[in-house]
Amino acid sequence: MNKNIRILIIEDDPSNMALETYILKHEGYEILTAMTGEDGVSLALKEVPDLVISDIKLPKMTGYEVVKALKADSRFSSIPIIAVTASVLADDREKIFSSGFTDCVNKPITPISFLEKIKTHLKKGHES
Amino acid sequence: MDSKRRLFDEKIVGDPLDFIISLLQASTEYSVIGKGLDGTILLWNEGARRIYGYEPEEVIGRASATLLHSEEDVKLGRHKEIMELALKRGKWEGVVNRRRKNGEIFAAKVVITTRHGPDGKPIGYLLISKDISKESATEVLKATQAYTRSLIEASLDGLIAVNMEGIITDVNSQMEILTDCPRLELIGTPAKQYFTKPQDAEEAFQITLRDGRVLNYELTLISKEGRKTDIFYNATTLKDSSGKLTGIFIAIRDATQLKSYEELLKQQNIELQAASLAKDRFLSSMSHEFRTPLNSIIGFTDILLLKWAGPLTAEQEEQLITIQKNGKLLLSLINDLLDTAKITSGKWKITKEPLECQQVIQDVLDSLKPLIEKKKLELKVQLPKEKVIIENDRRAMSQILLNLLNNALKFTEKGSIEVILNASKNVVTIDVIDTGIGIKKEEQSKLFQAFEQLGDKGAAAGLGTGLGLNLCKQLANNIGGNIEFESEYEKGSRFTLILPQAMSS
Repeated sequence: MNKNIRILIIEDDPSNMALETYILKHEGYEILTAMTGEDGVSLALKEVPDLVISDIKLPKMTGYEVVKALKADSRFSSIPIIAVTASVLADDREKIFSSGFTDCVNKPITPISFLEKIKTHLKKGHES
Repeated sequence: MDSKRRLFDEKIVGDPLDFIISLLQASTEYSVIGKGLDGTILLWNEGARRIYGYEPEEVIGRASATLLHSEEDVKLGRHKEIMELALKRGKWEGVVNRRRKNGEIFAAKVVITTRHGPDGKPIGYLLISKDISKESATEVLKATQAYTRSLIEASLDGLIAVNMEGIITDVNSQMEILTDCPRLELIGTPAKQYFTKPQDAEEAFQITLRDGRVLNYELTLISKEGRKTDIFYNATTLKDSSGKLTGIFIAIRDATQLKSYEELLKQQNIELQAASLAKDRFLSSMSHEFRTPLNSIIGFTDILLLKWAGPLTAEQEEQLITIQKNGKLLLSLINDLLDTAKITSGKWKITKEPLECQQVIQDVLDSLKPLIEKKKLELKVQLPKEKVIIENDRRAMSQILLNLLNNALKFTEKGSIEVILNASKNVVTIDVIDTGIGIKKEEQSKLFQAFEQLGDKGAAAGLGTGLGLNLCKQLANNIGGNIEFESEYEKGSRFTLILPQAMSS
């Protein structure tokens, strides 16, 4: 049912990538993956997915720079970009929202609530 | 003395009588007085005239006792005693009080010899005396000055006396060391020229003149060789005996050591701050690094338990639940560690707002309801009808209550958990009472220590992180409160959160 919805995951940790991919594939989404911020940005600009999930702590190009690069492209103005982070620092949360992310999910993620959040944003993205 | 000894050559002297008279008249510092046996004055030289103040005409032929001795000596008969001694021994030597014409009593060093006639019988006395009153005063003054000087020289502070123009009039040896200049070179030069900032030294000088003193004025002294010394300039004004301001007296204290301690302290402080920052960074990055693998562990366990990957046997499901439980325990340990670090480093920001205690308690209880029901424990809640409002940090208060209730739940297998809110004029107390395993007396003192898991029951069952109560106590203290407890082993425990200032609405 979600076959035509494409989600890009940018995550450098293979296990976390496998987990997120598994959860989203289970729900029937089409998944694109990138292990670095640079690859993630170029893939996103080429494919223009329906939603982007990005880790924050990435080698070289961070999640903050990824969201900045994508939001500079008008095609991404209404595409939800969700941060997934292992940081629990209040300062980091503030920075996540101020840098342009649509929402934030804390690690460890719970499959059900993670999916619910994705669904909510996809719905909003399509309505706008 | 041998009177027959030849003391002069007659050929050189000429007329001996003339010679003796001129000798007597030239002896102005020594009074030479001749007396008869009865004390009548027979000879009075220039020295006697100067010392006693009488002209020869006034005294020759008169009795000496009433004229030359102090009244006290006369009264005590002391003058007679001396004369008798001189007669008996041929000579008396000593210091006695004498009286001048103007009545002034003075100390005199006196030598009295007896004169004898050709038949060897005593015929009178010769008294030679010297006024030593001035001499002794000068001696005392000299001694006092030497003493004062030695104190000044012994001082480890550099000492300078300057006149009203700021010109050095005296220094001690420490000042010579500090300036690499000998005393004589320093005296007569402006004091301010020995400081790196003469205008500041001038200001210190002016402040001293204006206020009467200056304390610990910080300056840098510069020696002739260019050696700099950080010093404290302490000064007071100098006044003469009439009270007229004549200059100032400056004590220069070497501050090098103090400054170096200060520098060391500053440096150590910087290092400590850096270490503290490094620790905070380490903890937050550790928390991050732990969470990343835990995300996969807990996440995949959840997926398996959701049976998305396929059906599970009862045994598999039970084992997966154990993995899930321990994964979450590890997660709470990381959270507690981070919280502890935040509290100890003062990074836990306290935001006070009006809180309704009943509401805070209810919210915490709601979040724990599934656990309480699962354990089939009875929950008793006693809240006053009237709203209890306090001004405090919601997050800290909730966290403490959550920890206390979680502990109660962990260590209670049957019976009840009771929550009682009480408000008095000054304090609000919240009791969390359980019917659990309790705490042994000997272990109660370790209760609030970090990483202490009491008894074998808690630790073996993997029930806590060992940080919960330590965290609660620190948090409670941070929000102006405290936690008290009482417990009986195998009967249960009561933990009380005490918070200040109740306001009723």
